[in-house]
Amino acid sequence: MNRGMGSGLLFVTLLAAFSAAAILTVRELTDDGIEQRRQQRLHILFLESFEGNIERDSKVEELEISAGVELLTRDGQQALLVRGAGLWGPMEIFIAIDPDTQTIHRLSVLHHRETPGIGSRITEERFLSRFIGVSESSLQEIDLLSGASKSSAALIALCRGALEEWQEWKREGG
Amino acid sequence: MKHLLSWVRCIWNENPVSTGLLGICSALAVSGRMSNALAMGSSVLLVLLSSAFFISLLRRWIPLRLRLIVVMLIVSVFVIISDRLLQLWFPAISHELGPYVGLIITNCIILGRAEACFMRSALLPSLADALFHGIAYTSALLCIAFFRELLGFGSLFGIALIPEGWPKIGIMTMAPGAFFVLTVMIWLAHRRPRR
Repeated sequence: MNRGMGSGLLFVTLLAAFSAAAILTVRELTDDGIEQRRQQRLHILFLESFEGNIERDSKVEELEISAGVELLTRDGQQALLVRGAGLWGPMEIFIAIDPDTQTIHRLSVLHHRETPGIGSRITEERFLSRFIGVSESSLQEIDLLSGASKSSAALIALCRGALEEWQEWKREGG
Repeated sequence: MKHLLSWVRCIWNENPVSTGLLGICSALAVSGRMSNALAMGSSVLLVLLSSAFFISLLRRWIPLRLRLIVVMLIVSVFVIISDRLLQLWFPAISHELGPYVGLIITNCIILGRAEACFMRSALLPSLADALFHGIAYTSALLCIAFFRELLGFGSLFGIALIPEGWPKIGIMTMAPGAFFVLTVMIWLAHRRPRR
């Protein structure tokens, strides 16, 4: 009985070692490619937000300034990549920051789970254009979208939280 | 021949999703669009096939008392591999699926087949069993996704099919829509023919 248990444990240990080796190999093989995909995605986001104002072939620097808020810098231009709660599920947004005025240059919603046709109207340009040139303090003056007021409030709250974190981070001399 | 018939039957008569009610969680969560359903289905198929191979190969040495640990180990290695491959080749779909690829580890179909079949049968029958169960799961997902994407988004595989003015049924894109479609499928699968 004891011998059976011992060889069983040995088998599991060996298998675990093999599994770990297999996972490490796969990670090693795919890491570069996945990183490349991430960079590609970030580049496209920058290109869409700052039309033509950007040097090609410059690397996007990523810096996490708090949970869910990443500061991206590319060629002197800054943007925030924010993950947080929408009304019905997680939301991911990209805030391009105007380099001169430090206000919102352009806001895009990358991922959301709002109701299609109702809350999803917050992704339309008609609403997103209201954010252009707005600073953290004047975010509350943005008119909510009627019929999608809770979804738009969630988007504004997410935006404000991220901008607050960013201001805080700058004050601390980041 | 007899085997082949029973395996083909598992796609409709003994479908793990509609008859066995296994893997429901992921079937509800990722069946919003055809492309997501296909990616999820093929990940599960890949995990099933590779774990069938290894479990069936090692079945004589797997200690009976520790078999759950062994099965989880093998399954999780292939789940991680398929997650990485999705991230590498289909980053957009991987982003859309979110945590559900990692949750394949807890998919009951895999654990169920490992207990019922891979631990007991030779290599070839195990692989065939894995193949047909993977196809059955994928086709169930695609079937749900077909109605959800067509009615909810008016498209299939992202290609718009229904003209603009047609009303889209928003609820089909959310979890309740998946429940409705799945319920109809389960009802059809369990309907006994009248004598």
